[in-house]
Amino acid sequence: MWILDIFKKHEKKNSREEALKRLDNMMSRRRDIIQKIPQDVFEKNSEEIKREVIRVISAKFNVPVERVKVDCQEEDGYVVIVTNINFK
Amino acid sequence: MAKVYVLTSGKGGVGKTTVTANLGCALAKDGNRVCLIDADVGLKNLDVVLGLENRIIYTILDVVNGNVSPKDALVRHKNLKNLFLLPASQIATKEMITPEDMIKIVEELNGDFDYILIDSPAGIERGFRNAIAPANFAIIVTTPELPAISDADRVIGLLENNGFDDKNIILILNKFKVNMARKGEMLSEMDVQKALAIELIGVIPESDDVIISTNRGMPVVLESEYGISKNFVNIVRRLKGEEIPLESDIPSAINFLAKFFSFFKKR
Repeated sequence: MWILDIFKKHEKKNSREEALKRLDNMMSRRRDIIQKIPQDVFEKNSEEIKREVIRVISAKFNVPVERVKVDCQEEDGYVVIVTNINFK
Repeated sequence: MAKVYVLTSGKGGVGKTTVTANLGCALAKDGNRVCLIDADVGLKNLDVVLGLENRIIYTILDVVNGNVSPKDALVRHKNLKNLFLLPASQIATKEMITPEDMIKIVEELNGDFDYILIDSPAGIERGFRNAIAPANFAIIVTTPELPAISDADRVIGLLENNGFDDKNIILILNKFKVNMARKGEMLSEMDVQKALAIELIGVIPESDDVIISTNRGMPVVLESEYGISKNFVNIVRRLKGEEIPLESDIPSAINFLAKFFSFFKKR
């Protein structure tokens, strides 16, 4: 049985490397900082913003721009961007 | 004008309240006038860690409701005459207080203190927004475990969305297990700093002294000059711009011997 214990300890020693790998993976998936847009700026440029969101989404998911629909609505003082992507 | 710090984290149980109490005591011991605000409304604990739970007459809710001024609601610490606490209310909910209320309270206290430390509740909801609203600086408290680091990263993102940047967000690594890190069994302080990409201002090793001091209602900084109380003193000195290497926060073999001999001194 003690032979098995040696292997257990060996596994435990790798836990930092395992944690580092998982941490790197988690951090690489973190979202970019989103800049807040003042309401008046948003209202003036909402069409332009929608077009930019459509462009980013179509590039990200590799779908044509016409298959991405974007709408914006205000909720609790924040602008919520509603997106609909048709993948078919 | 006071420097206003919020001590926050995404995950609960990382030791925000203990760090707030000890940092407040270390700053007060250093001669600063310090006010601690417990923004963890509904689950107050800072008064318990400071041993002031029996001295509370008014709470932050009384201030928000206009019954008393913020200064009248302050509780003075038993041993440190320049340390004050604005306690949270246990019967209130976070929704009873707004970010604007917090800004107004801090504005009224600002002129009387050198440092105001706000103990934030865990999480990213209303309590968090209340706590960060009046702060100029944020101290992220995390432990070296993946869920705590992941949540700390989320909180840093939210702080950045609320006008903070890497110059006014700093990190304290709490409950650090020195032996495990040395053996390569857990993340080191540098691993955590690299992942979160903010300045690491202090490392607090895990210690039984914290449990004992909390039981006594006397923060560890006030009980001893040794062990982790030295780490809080180091953090205070770093906050004031002194350059103290992080290695001095982590017990070495020499420190172990000092601890060993201090055991006999105490007896």
